[in-house]
This record gives sequence, structure tokens and C-alpha cells, in this order.
Amino acid sequence: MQTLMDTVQLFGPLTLLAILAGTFLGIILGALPGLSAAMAVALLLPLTYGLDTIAGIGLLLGAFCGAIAGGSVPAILLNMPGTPGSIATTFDAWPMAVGGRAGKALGLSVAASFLGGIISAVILILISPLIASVALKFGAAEYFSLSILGLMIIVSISGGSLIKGLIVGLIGMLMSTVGADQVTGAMRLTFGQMSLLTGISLLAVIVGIFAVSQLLLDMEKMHGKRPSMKVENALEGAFPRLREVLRNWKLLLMSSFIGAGVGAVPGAGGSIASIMAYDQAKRFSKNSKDFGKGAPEGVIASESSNNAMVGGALIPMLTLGIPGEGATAVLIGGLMIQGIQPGPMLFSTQATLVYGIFVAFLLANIMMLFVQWWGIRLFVRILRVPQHYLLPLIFIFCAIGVFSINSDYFDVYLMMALGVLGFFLARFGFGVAPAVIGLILGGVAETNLRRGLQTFDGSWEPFFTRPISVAFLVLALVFVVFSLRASWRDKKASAVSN
Amino acid sequence: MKGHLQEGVFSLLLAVAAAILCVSAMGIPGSAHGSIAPSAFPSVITFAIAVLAALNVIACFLKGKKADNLPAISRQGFLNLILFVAFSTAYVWAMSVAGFLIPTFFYLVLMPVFICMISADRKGLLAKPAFWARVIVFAVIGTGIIYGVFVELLKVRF
Repeated sequence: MQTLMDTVQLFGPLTLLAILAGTFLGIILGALPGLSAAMAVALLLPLTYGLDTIAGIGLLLGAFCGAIAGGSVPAILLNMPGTPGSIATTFDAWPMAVGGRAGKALGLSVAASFLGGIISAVILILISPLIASVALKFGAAEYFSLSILGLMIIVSISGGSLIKGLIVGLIGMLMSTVGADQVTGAMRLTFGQMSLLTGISLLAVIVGIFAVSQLLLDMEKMHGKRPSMKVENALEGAFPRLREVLRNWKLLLMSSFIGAGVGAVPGAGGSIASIMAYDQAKRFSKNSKDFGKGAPEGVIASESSNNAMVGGALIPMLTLGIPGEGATAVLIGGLMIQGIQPGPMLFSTQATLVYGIFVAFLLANIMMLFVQWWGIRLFVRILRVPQHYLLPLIFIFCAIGVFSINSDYFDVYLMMALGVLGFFLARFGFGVAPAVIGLILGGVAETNLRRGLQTFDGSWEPFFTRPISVAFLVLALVFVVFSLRASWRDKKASAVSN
Repeated sequence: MKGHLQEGVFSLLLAVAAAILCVSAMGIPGSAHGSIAPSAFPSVITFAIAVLAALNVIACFLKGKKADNLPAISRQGFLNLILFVAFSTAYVWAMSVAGFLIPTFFYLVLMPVFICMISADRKGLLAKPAFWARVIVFAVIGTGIIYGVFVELLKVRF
């Protein structure tokens, strides 16, 4: 009861305003094609520095939920998914828009996103404490094995090439070793630079690799002719169609459970969740022949599942400290900047904060409904903001945000250098998300390996004999084998289709 | 240069940089009783990056013989990048010397103009007086909003 009262007290006007602002900005950033949810969270990360913990986390959670939901706006109106999670939305929403039902598609998407998010919040609240109570028994060996399992996510998010994914993940891990060694105090890869003594700024890495690299990608293509965008679809009937979505409650529940389940599996992500939910909806629908031609069920399945994915992704992040994909990796960065280390200990030492995060997530979903309802016409207009205004503004936001953490211009130059590296990595198909996962989990792996070895008098045996540790290592191995098999199958299928 | 060749060159640079860092990491002093030395992790990681990047160089050249699906970065694309990075670096440097307001205002005036100059379908805008007026208004409002959020609200000091 006391915890509940303490949690309620966390939500003052500033916190509520922060969640609202995060949701609003998240929807705008998610609606801009090319800006992912991870980038939206990364861009807003600097703002959290001046806020108290729960307001800062609320802002980021709002941005995460908002960006996923906002991705549906260009998916419906331009046939361009704003985020990967909205890919399946285009299958039916675009035909609906072409047929003059853009408003209805937007209304369905708003309602389905809201309800999917709420269902996943309930799942998060019920399941997280159970997992955290088990995880409390972990020692250094278990944490080391768990971080290895987390690092194996890199294999599944590597996309086309395992080698490339591993290179980027290792670059992230290498960045985690920079600075004074925690055990011996030896300087590692600082090259005499005082700003690196305490390690590489997490914010500089996240903003550089996600946001600045995207700016550079946009700049590279700037000289070419852009495809003309027409946003002249009628927005009649663009209000949240809650009743219509609730009438399809079986579809809503199934899609939300798929979304939350896929989200909880590290490395899976929103695009897989929405495509899986869409596929199941098509399979079980009486109108399966209408799918792909403007079936409202297709929009409900895709949008409820991609927003439910957010709640699912928060489960391993909060209970085990493992980021499932890019956006949660950035979110963990945000928690760490606030001085919070996600993991099972969080549930016992800062229970009020954990419940605060649950409430903030619920509120973010509720606010998302109202912000989208009120601002749907505004978000459509934002798609028309010219890039020559947008790109310099985003860069200034990145530079000042990174500077604000340590008031050190070195961090800003580092952010730009990492942005250039991120540009080439993204441009040549290496991907950038594994770097942040490597940066976050690399430090955990090294610290716990060294701590474990010291505890066990230099013996490696306990890492391979303690039951939970072994279970994680076996799971990591199974995860790698399955990911490689799936990747091999995809390659074979694409070779056959070519 | 074709896309796969560019990727190969990038991977080669990555391999060389990792190899240099590996040598540097192996020189990290100190050891911990009953545990691994502080140099162990960075050395192993940089070594692995160097090996994998070298493998990717080979893979690029092998792939290149079959088909090249990766579009290359054009000369104009490289130039856009270099100019953007140069302007932005100059902006950050100017901010460290002259504070926030003046460099930010000029950056917000010059960057839209620069972007329009390099865009095929935006060049025409530069001849219109209304465009310049809009840019000035955008720079004034943009500078004001960022100043309000970061300097006044979040108390960032330059």
C-alpha cells in the first residue's frame, strides 16, 4: 500500500507533462519516414537530463509508444512505413486510403494502437515481477552468461550478414572498454584524452550512431530528385474507432498477445510482430480474401501488435537488463544516464520506481490516444515540412543535447565522428543497432566475468557448472543456431524467388 | 567505384584501424590476481574486429564478381557529406568560441541555403525573395525555441 502511495506521488504535473510531450514528439518523429523509434528515443534522450527520474523515463516511454503509433501515419497516407513496425499496416491501410477511406484507416490505427498498448501494459505488470524474483538469485556467473545470451541478439538482428553484425556489435563492446579500468585503474584506449577517463559518453554514441548517421544518409541523397508526396487523401472519419476495434476483440487479443510475446523475445522487433499478427489474422479471418485489398482487420492486427510489442520489449529490459532491439537499447541508455541499472535488483531496491515505470507506460498509451485524436491533422501536415529546415534543426538538437550532459565539446566532436562511422556502417548494410547492444552488454559481460573469476579464485568451471549459468549459455547456443538457420532459410528463399 | 568495392575499402580501413588498436590495447599495463588482465578484453575484441573485417573484405570482392546490388556512394554524395560535416564542425567550434546565439542563428540561415543549393529540385527556391524571408524567420524562431528549451529551461551553459 505504501509503495502504491509513493508511486502515485511520483506523478506530479511535470511528470504528466513530460509523458505528454514525449508522446507528442514521438508521434511526430515516428511519422517522419526514415526516423525509427530508436532514433526518436535517442533524440529526446538529452531532454531527460534536466528532468527527475520518472519524468525523464516517462518522456522516453511516451516517445517510444508515440513513435511506433506515429509510424502508421505515413504508412496509411503515403504507403511509406514510418517505422519498420508499420510495414504490415501498409498492406491494407494504403488500399483503404486509395479507396477514399484514409480517415477510417487512421481511426482504426489509433484505436488499435491504444488498445494493443494497454493489453501489453497489463501483461508487463503481471509478468515482470515474477521474472525479476527468479533473477534475484543470479550471481556474477549468471550475469555473465545472461549478458552473453543478450549479446547473441546481435546474431538475429544482423539481417543480411552475420560477419557485419558481429563487427558492429564488437565495435560497441570495444567502446565499453574505453576509460579507467574498474579493477586496476589502468587507462584503456584513452590516448591521453582527459574526456575519456570516465569512458565514452553513452549519449554521444547513441545520438551519433542513430541520429547523426541518419542525417548524413539524408544528406547523401539530397542531390537526387525526391519522389513527390501527395497527402491529399480525405481525412473524413479520422477519429479513434474504439467500438469497431472492440467488436473484433478476438483479433485484438490475439494480435496483442503475439505482439507482446514477440516483443519479449530479444532480437525479434516490431516488424516481425506486426507481420506475424497480420499473417495469423488473415489465416483466421472469414474475409481472408479481402486482406491486401483494404481489409480493416489487417490494420487492426498490424497496429495492435506493433504497439503491444513495446510492452513486451520492456519485460526483458526491466527484469534482466537486456535490450531486445535498438529502441530498448537506447531506453536502457536513458535509464543509465539517470543512474539506474535495469535488472532484477531494481525490483527489490527501487520498487516504487518500477511501479512508476509501469504507470508511466500506461499513461503514455492513454495520452497517445488523445494526442493522436487531437493532432491527426497536424501530424499529416508535418509530413510536408521541408528537409532543408528539418535537418539543421535536428543536428543542433543532437549537438546541444550531447553537450548538455558533461558540458564538454569533446563529446560533440565524438558524436559527429561516430555519426560518420554510423553512416558508413548503415550505408554498407552493417546496421547500427548491434553497436549500442554491444556497448551496454559488453561492460556487463566483462565486469561480471572478472568479478566471477576473482570470486572463484581464477576458475572458469562455475561458469559452466552452475545450473542457471549453464542454462543461459545453452539458450545462447540454441538462439544462435536457430537464428543462423532462419537466416540461411531466408537467403535460400530469396535466392529461389530471384 | 562500385558499391561492393567501396564496402571493401571501408572494411579494409576498419581492419587496419582495429589492428592498430589491438597493438595499442596489448600495451595496456596491469594485471589482477585471479582474474584476467585489463588488456585482455580490448585486445581480443580488436583482434576479432580486424579478422572479421578482413574476412568481409574478401567477401566483398568475391560477391562483387557475382552481382553488385549495393548502390555506390556518388561523388556528389561524398561531397554533400563532407560539406555537411565541415559546416557542422565549424558550427560546434564557433559555439565553443562565441557562445550559443550567434553561431546557431547563422547555422540555421546557412544550412537551409546550402541544402537547397545541392538539391536538384530546390535550387529554384534560392531565386525567390520569399524563400530568404522564410529562412530568416525560421532561423530567428528556431534559435529562440532552442535557447528557451536548453538555456532557460534546462539551464545548459555554453
